[in-house]
Amino acid sequence: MDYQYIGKDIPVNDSKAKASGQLCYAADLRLPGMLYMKLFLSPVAHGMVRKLDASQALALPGVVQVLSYENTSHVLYNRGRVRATEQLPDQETLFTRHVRFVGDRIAAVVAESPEIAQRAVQLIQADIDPLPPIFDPEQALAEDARSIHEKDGVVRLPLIGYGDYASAQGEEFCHHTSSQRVSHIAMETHCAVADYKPASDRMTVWTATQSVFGARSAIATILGMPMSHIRVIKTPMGGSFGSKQEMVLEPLVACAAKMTGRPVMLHLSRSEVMLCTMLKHPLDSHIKVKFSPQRTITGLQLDCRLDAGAYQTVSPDYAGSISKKLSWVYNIPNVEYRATTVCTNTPITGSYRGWGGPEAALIMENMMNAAARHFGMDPIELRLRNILPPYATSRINNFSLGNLPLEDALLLGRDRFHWEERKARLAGQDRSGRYVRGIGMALATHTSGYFPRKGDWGTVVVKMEEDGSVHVNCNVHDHGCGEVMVFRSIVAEVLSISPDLVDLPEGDTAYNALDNGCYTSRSIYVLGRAILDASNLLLEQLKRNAGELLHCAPEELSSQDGTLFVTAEPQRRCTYSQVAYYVADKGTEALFVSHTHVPTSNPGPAAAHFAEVEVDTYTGLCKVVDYLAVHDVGKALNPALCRGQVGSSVQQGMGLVFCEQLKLDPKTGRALNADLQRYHVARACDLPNIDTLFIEKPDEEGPFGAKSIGEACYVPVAPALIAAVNDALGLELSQLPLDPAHILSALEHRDEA
Amino acid sequence: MTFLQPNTLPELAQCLGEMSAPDCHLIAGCTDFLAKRNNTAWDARLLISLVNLPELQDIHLDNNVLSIGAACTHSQVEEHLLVRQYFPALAAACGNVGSKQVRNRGTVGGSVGNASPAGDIYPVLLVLGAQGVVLNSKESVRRLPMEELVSPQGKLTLAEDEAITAFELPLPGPDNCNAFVKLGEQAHVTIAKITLAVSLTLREGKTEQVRLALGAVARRAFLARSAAALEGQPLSRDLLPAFFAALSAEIEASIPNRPSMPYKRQAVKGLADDLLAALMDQAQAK
Amino acid sequence: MIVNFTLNGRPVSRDLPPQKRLIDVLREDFLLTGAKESCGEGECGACTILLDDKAVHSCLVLAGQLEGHRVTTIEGLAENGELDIIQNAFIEHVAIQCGFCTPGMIMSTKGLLLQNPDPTEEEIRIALSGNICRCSGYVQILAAVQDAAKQLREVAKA
Repeated sequence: MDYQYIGKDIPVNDSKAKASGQLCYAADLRLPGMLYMKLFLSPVAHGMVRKLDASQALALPGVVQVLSYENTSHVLYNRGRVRATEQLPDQETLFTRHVRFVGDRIAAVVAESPEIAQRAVQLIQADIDPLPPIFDPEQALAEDARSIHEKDGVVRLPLIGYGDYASAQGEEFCHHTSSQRVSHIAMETHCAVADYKPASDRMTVWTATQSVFGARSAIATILGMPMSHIRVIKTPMGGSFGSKQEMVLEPLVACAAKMTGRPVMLHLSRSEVMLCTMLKHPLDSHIKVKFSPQRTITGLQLDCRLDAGAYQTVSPDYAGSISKKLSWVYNIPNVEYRATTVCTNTPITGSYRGWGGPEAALIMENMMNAAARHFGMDPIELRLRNILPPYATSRINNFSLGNLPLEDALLLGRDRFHWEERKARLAGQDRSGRYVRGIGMALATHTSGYFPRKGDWGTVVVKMEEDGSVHVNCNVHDHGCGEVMVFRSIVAEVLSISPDLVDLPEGDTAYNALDNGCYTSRSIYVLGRAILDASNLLLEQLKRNAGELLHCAPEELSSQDGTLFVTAEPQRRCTYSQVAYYVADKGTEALFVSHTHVPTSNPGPAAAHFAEVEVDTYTGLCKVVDYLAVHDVGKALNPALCRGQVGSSVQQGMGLVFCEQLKLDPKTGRALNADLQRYHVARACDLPNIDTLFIEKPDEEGPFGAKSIGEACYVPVAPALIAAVNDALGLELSQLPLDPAHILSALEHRDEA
Repeated sequence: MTFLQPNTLPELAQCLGEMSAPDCHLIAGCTDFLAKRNNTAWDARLLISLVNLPELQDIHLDNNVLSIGAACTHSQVEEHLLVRQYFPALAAACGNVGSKQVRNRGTVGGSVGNASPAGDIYPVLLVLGAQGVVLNSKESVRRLPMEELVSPQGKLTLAEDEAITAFELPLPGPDNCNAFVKLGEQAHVTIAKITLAVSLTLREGKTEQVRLALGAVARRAFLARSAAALEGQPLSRDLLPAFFAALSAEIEASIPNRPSMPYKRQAVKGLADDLLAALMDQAQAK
Repeated sequence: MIVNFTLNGRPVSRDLPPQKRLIDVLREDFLLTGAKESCGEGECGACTILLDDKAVHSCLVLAGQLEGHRVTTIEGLAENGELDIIQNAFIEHVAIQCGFCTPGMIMSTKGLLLQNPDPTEEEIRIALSGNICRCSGYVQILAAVQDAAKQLREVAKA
C-alpha cells in the first residue's frame, strides 16, 4: 500500500529548533525568582548520621533553605510506582538519616544561584556513625540484608514457569552469565523545575519524565496534596533509555518549592546521575537446559540474582519481567524460573532499556551460542530447530505472540550477512597473528505493550480547528526518538493533510486522561493505534457534516489533501475548513473526538542480529567491523527513525559488552569512575557501519501494522557481540564486560591450557 | 581573586612576581584545570592566563633548534609542518590527545606542567632531548632538560615564580627516526594506559642511540632500559619478541604491586608492535 | 572584569567574573542556551562552540580568557532566520533525534569543515569522536556531514 507520510523518512518535528539551539529543555527554563537546588549526598556506604550541621551553609548569603531528613516528609515510597495501588516495597524517603550507599540523599541546599548552592553544599557537615557495609550480594543473601532494610532487603520471587523441569528428558547443558553496573548516559542529565503557589496550593512541575502521572502520584503521596492540585508537564527529553522512568527528582524539587514558596530547579551533574539516580542491574545467572538428541530444548531452569543496590525500587518487577521474556523465542515445554533481588550498600539499580528483555536474551542467547559450539552445530541451525512458529502462544500469561517471523529473520539475516561465506573465510584465517576475527549472532523478541497485563490503554482527543488544522491531545512522552513525529504522520495520513498542520503536545496531567506513561515500548502500538482510531472517527465526523453540505451520503465521499469530494463527481467538493465553519455555524456539535483504545494483543517483534568482530590479541581491544540488524517491525512507520534506534542499540550494546562499567571501590563502595573521563562509551570512531533490514509483515492491531522497535533492537546486541568474540578466540566468555584486561587474561589461560 | 592576562614576556615576569602558593595558578587551555574542578565551587587567589601571549604561541626554527611555545595548542603543534617533518613522534602524540576540542584548546605546556603520569607530551620531549625554557619573575631565563623539569615523583620542579615558556628541540639528523604510540581503554579520546616514545638513528641499516620512554606506567614517564633491545639491530618485526620481553619485564619491575600491572605487562606487546611498524614506515620513507 | 569579545559576529563588552565558565556566560548572561552541559569536563562535546573558528568546549574556557577573541555558538549559524547548510543537512538526513547533542555536533562539524572541506569518513569520525550521541549509531550524522561538506564545496566553487 502506498502511503503519503507513513513509511517515509520524515525528520522529527522539532528538528529545526534542535538544529538551531532554540528548543527549551528543562534546564533551559528560567522562571522569575527561581532558586537552585543542590543535593548533599552520603560520602559513606552505610551509616547513621549522628549530627548534621548546616549552620555554615545557612549563613552563606543567597542560601534560602536547607532541606534534610530533619525537616521533610518521612513518608516511605517507591520511586518506580506509577499508581498508588502497585505492589512494590516502600523503602525510600526524600532524605535519610540511615544512609545506605555512597550517594544517598542526606540533605539539600536551595539558593539564589547554582554556584551558591554548590558552595553551600560543600559547607554542610555530617557526622556519620559507620555501619558495616555489604557490597557482595552473596553476603547480603546470607544475612538477608536485614542491616540495610528491616523489610524486603532480599526479595525472593515465587517460582515462575510451567511444566516440570525434572521430568524433562535429554542432555543437560549448564551455562553462567553475569553482567555489570552500567549507566544509561542519556545526554541530557536529569532536571526538574517546580513552581508552587501557596495562595492557591497549586504545584506545577516541568520535568523530562516518562510518566507525568507517575510523578504526580509520587508528589501527591509524599507531600499530601490533592492530585488535582498538581500539574506535571513533560519537557523535551534528551534521551532516557529508562533513566527518566522513575520518580527521582520530582518529589524533591516539589518539596523544595513548597517549602520556599518559590520556583526551584534541580539539575543533576553527570556524576550525580551516575551515582544517585539508577544504574542497570548487575546480573548473575545460572541456567540449565535439557536438549533432546535432535537438539530441541525440552526444559529450562534458570536462577537469576539481581543486585538491587541500596533500595529495591523496581527490581522485583524487573526480575519478574525476565521470566516472561525468556519464553517468547523458543519452544520450551518446561520452564522453572527463580529470581532474587538483593539490596546491597551500592548505588541503586533499576529501569534500563528493555526491562529484563536484554537480560533474558543475554542468558538465553549466550547459552544457545555456547550450546551450538558444544554440539558442534551452526548457531542458526540450532535456533531453527527451536524457534516458536508464527502465532505461537506465550506459555506464561497465555496470549498470542502475533505473526512472529523468527524464521524469516534468521534466514534473511543468514543471506544478507553472507553468514556461510564469512564462516568459511574465517575458518581459513591465520589465528596465530595479532588480529583474529569472529562472527556471532543472536535472536530476540520483545513486547509491544503491557497486554495481557491490565492497565494498558490509550486515550486520545483529536479536534479540528476552523482552518482545518488539527490538535491532538494524548499522553505521549517522546524520549527523543521521534514518536511525536510518527504520531503526527499517522494523523496526517488518515486525514490526508500535512503533518505540519497537526499539533501534538506531550504529557501534561492537566489536559491528558490518566495514562501510565511511555514504558515497555508501548507508545507506537498502543497510543499510535488510539491516535489512528481517533483520527478515523474525526474523518467520519467530517464526512457526515460534509455530506450535509454537499447533499450526499457520507459513504459517497473521499478525502484528499484537506478536502472532501464526492468520489463519483470529484468537482463536488469542500475543504475541511469549510466543513469546520459549517459545523461551528450549525452550533450543535464540535469537531472533537475522544477515544480510548484498549489493546487486545501484544505481538513480539522478532529480531536477529549478526556481528563480525576483530580482536587485537596483543592488547585485548575489540573492534566491531560489521553489523547487521534484521528487524520485524510490522511496518516501519518512519524507517530513518527506526534505523536511529538500531544504531543507538548497537552503540549501547557495544558499551555493555566492551567498555561500560561503573566501578566501585571494594573497600569503601565509592564509585571510581562516575564521570565520562573514566567511564567509557563507544564513540563515532568505534561504531561500525550498521546495516538494518526491516521485515514488514503487518500486525493485525498495530497502526498500519506496526510493532515496537525502541527496546527490541537493544535486546540481542550484547549476545551477538559476545558470540563473535568467542568465535574469534575459541573461548566461552560470558562474564561481562569483555574489557581488554578480561580478554588478555582469558587468552593467557587459554594458551596455558 | 586576581585574574592577570599578560601579553608580553616582561609582563609575564611581572605577573610571576605575584605568585605565592597556595591557590595561585598558571592557566592556559584549562582542559585539565577546569575538568578537575568540575562540580566544585572553587576559589583561587590568583590566576595568570597564558592564552593571550603571542610569544608563548609561536613555533619557530632558530639555529637548528625548534622552539615550541608552551601555550601552543596540541592542534597547532600537530599541524605544524616542521613538527611533522622532524618530529613525527610529537605530531603523533599531539594528534592523539583527547578529542578534537581538547586538542584545539589544551596546550603542550599545560600537558607537561600538569605532570600527569599519563601525559602524552612529556615522554616524547624526553626522548627527543628537549629542554624546557623557564622564565622567572626577575626575567631571567634558564633551560632545563626534561628529566629535571619533572621529578621522578611526577612533580614539576619549578619555583613559585617560574613558568615554562617554551620547549626547545634540537633538530635531529637525517638518519633519525622518532615515533610515539599509545594504548588506552579505547581507540580514540582516551587516557593513556601505556605510551611508548622512541628516537633513534639508523646507520647503515642498523639502529643506534636509541632513546625509549615508557609513559603512563610509573609516576613519570622514564627512559626505559628496554631501549637496549632495539640497539644495534636492523629494523624489523623480528625484533618484537625480544623487545616485548624486555618491556614486559621492565613494567613488572616498575610497578610490581599495581593491579593494572598484569594487563600492562601483556598489552605492551601491541604497543611494541605498533612502534616497530611506525619506525619501519619512517625508515622506508627515508 | 570587563571582557570585550565578539559573539556571533557582534562585538560585546560585559562585566563578568573572570573565573566564570564560558558555557555559563552564554547560558546565563546572554541567554544563549543552545550549548548544553552534559558532563562539565570536556568529554561529551554537547557544549561545543567555535573559538576563533576552532571547535572547543565552552565548559573549559574561562570568561577572563575571552578578551579579544571570537565566539560562535549554534545560535550564530543561521543568517536572517535561514539555517545554514550544515544545520539543514542534519535535519534532512534525520541526523537529529533527542537533539541534546545536536548543537555541539553541528559546531564540531562546522569547525571540521572550516579546516578541512573534503574530509574522509575516517576524518569525520575522528573529528566527531569528542561528541557523544546516545540516540544513534552515528550513521545518519556521518551522512549529514558528508552531504554538508559536498554542498559547501559546491557553494565555494560557484
